[in-house]
Amino acid sequence: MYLTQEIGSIPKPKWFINYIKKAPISEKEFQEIAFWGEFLEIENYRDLIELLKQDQDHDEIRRWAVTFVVRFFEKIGLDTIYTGEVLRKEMYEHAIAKIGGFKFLGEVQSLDNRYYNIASVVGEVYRKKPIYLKEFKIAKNVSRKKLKVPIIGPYTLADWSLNQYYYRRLLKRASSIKEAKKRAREKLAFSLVENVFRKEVRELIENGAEWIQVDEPAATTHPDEDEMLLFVECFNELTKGFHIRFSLHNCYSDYHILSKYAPILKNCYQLALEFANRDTLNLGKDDENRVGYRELKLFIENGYDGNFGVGVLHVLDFDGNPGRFASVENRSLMESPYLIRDRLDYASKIVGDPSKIMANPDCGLRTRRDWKIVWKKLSNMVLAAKMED
Amino acid sequence: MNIMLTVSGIHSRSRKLIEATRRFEKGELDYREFENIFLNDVKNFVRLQEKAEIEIFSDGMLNWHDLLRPLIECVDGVKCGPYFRWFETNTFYRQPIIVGKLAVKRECIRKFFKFDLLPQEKKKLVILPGPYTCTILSKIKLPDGLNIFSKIIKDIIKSLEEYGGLFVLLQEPCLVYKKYCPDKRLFSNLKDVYSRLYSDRPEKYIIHTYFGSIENVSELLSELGCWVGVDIIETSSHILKKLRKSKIVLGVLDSQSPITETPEMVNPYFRNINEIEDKNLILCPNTDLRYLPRNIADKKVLALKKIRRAMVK
Repeated sequence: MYLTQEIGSIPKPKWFINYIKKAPISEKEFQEIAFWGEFLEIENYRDLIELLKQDQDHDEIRRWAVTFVVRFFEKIGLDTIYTGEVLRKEMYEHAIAKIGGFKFLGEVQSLDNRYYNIASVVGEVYRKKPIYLKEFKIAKNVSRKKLKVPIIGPYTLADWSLNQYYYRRLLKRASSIKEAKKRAREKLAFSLVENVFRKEVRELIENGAEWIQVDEPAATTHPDEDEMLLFVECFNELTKGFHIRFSLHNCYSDYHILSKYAPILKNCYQLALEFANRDTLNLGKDDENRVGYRELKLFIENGYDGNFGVGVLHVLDFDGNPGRFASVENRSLMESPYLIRDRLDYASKIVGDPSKIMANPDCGLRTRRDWKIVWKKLSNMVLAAKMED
Repeated sequence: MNIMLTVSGIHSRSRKLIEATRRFEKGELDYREFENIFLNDVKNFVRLQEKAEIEIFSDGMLNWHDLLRPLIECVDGVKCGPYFRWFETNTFYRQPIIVGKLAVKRECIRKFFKFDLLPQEKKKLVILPGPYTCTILSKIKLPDGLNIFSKIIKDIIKSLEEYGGLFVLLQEPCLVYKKYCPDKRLFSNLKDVYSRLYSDRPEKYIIHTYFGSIENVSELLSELGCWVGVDIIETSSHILKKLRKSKIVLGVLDSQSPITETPEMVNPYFRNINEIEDKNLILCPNTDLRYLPRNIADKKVLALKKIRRAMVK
């Protein structure tokens, strides 16, 4: 038996997207509310339909959006949940919009047809508004389960941004353009930790947060030692002196690199990592069939003795051959519970203690667009985790 | 000095095209509507190059998700592998996995190269990953992979020959990126592979490096006989002297900075260029401009014109 958790985002319901865009909500979308409202046994969900028809009480509509996601996760049976980031436009843009000193420049390509609105630093960075607090308060009020608050990490925010302000200031003193860029990234990352994220974390804790997941997908982007130490220092400075649970989520990265530095992350309860993307779809608990999970060994060999969130669900479009132990629906890979269970058991064998393993998707499932697909994927994961040995 | 201008990789998609990709994925646009928007974007990019007085034209590669994708989608015997990060950027590529007998699907190639939209009289730039980079990123054993991929690359280029006036830029970031720099013992293999690729037309080929300094491979690059592309963000200006006898392509635009380059910013390189014997030079961005929003990327392409004027002066 393994515990289960969500890792971040799921697709926003269509009615909520249209509400945000101020577009009309169709009859089909009202039916969707009714379907999920009944299925998830959400009390008084018809009040939401009335509110949407009246187009008023915006805070209440946001609360409903969170309620639907929270009940969705609860009904699936996940042990640790959150809001599916339903109130966030996108992880990067959501945070930047609430931080002073940045200017959005426009969208750039990231992965296939996915983009993000890149910003440049044009002045000293500071926290304009709370980034996650409002969402957390709603979730706390609504949820019946343990919450884990995902926040974007300062190192990733610094790495994904263009950095005119600090770069121009440092260029004259640096030996090269490359050196100036590096120093500028360092300056920005530390400014974000001090001026923005420690304040945010403190307020989340004061309001009852017990577990914060720091999302640092950029952690191993620059694999040089001083860059990796910068990432580690950002994490350690961010969490220093706070007595709650912190974890790190990292995906699509180089685990040969991350594993060397994981042991010096302080106050890091869990590493939630992506493995399903790298794995085969065969059954089996051996090295050959579980090729995607072999890198877990590196973390153990390098002396990391914390817990793992093990990515067992592929979250991107899939266009290969799913084999006999998975299927494909609407370009989504549907892993069978048997395949997921083998992945978990293999991971457990490497780590040496099943209680140190939690099952989760590789990354946020926002990429799937359809709640029914997300439901099936997560249900299979819960089923696999709860199977008798 | 004779200076030509070109681009060197995947250009940034316009807001309209970005929105179209989203709507197409959601089923809100049919293929024909999407294709029209895409082709319009290519045409706009062509107009930009005309305005920038570029000599070697690219179609912008606006439908490429990553540099290796045509090798997966257009070659029988290559399977789609997992996603990996593209060097030190926030973009990703899918790993090509060789599973069978290789054959280039010519019809598919047309999906990736929109050369019928380029001005007929202009040189047309074929941008592909080089055999060394393909081998490293596919995790295939060296030197076997070099032969496999150079054959695929050659076949793809051959299938485009009907357009005429081809110029080929092979992106080889792995040659200079610290983690993947080749051992000196591999230099002769690499030289063979490249010379077989460009056979008797080295003047039409660029081996373009970026994301690292040429310092460790300057000996190899200086002996290739084709054009050699250098990323000036990574390579100190004095190292250029090591390529004294080569035909140089200077990546003078920083694809990861929003600041538009001015001739003054590129000045230190001008001085060292005087020591290069070959008086032909190509200027271009250091790599794909897709890391920047379209309006900024476009401004950078236009900056090439000013930089050339200043250099000529």
